[in-house]
Amino acid sequence: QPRGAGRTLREPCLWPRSICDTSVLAGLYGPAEAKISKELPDRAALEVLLRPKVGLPGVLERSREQLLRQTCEAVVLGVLHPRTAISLVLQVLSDAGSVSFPLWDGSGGWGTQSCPTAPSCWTPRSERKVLMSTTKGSCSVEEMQQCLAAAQRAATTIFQFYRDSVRRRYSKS
Amino acid sequence: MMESKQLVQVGCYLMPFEGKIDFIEQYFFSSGSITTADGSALVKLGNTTVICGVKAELAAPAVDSANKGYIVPNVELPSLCAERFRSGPPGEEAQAASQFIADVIENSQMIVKEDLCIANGKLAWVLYCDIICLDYDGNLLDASVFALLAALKNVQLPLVTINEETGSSEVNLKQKNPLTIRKHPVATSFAIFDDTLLIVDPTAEEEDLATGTVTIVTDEEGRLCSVHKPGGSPLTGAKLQDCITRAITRHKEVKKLIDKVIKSITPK
Repeated sequence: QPRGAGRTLREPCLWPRSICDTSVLAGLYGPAEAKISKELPDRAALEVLLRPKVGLPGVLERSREQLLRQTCEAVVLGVLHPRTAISLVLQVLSDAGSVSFPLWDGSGGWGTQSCPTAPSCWTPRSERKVLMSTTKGSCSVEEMQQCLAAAQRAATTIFQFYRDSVRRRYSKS
Repeated sequence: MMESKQLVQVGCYLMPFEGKIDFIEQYFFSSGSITTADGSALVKLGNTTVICGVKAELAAPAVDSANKGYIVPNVELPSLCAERFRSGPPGEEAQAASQFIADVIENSQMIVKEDLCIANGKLAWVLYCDIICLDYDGNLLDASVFALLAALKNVQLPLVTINEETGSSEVNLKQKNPLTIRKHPVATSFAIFDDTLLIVDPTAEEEDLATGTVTIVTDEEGRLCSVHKPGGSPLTGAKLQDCITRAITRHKEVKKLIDKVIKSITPK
């Protein structure tokens, strides 16, 4: 049981990725009481902390934190918990590239990634819209379209996986 | 004392906005305004003013990449540029912008780090690209990438030779060469309103009210160097494609403007 917050909504979950051996441990705390300086009157203040495998977090971590925070803000119904704080703590356990994907998976989202020039695109639920996108290296417009299509296909598979696992879990009891 | 090679260019560019209204972007662009830097540029996009100075220093290359120089971009958002920024260590936005600029340099390969190497394993150039925002009114990334590109195109590096007998480096300040810029990345940002409306060149107020932003960086061949969408409202694939098409169109206009200014200040 992680301490320091009122309660945990989720158990910290670990998603080992067999494809590229990147794994991230995620812990979510809150909604808990927020510091007055951080408190927002109309919604919950979301905070993402990303710890690298070794050393102290730097500019790269800060930029990824911003990416994840803004993505989570779009998904989490923060208006249901005004004046509270939700903090998401992520610890990189092993990094073999595309860290942001398991990060997102670990934080309970739905992510897909296609690999040629490594753009990661995240598409939410049934609409298959692009929620978040980041690219590494350059690619042509056609390649980008292919990546988006691959991300959308993979999102379908992952949603099905979530659906199946939830069904399995609740059908037993 | 170096002669001041300053030139001011005001560019106007029409951008169709949601197919109905023509949106006018105004540029103000001056190159070589900091005489103590090796290259500099001041860019004004709407009310956002960004200045970029490039300082070149000599250093030994890293052991694991002996044939590479360094490029160190840094974005500063001092408290003078807008009320929202505090003085002190760089905040999240400044750090994220610095990382974005570093990613753009790496992804687009605008400067190949091998070009900065003078003697393998011994001597290489370090380019400190300091981007300082003087007036913040949204669209920081567009202005920063523009200023960085313009400043790098303005850089004149002195010729450095290594004396084989003594092994020391000799800097010839009389003979200066420009940097090899291989690609010209240009960033175009859009603010998303209500999941459907897209606005180019958002102001700070528009950014605050928007539900998300997208920044697309393209090079002159129409390749995408970065599609940066940090969360916010989800976009359909078609809308994203629309943004990409607009970004490619805008690239041509910005490139034309940079070329015009650079051409007019190059000594004949």
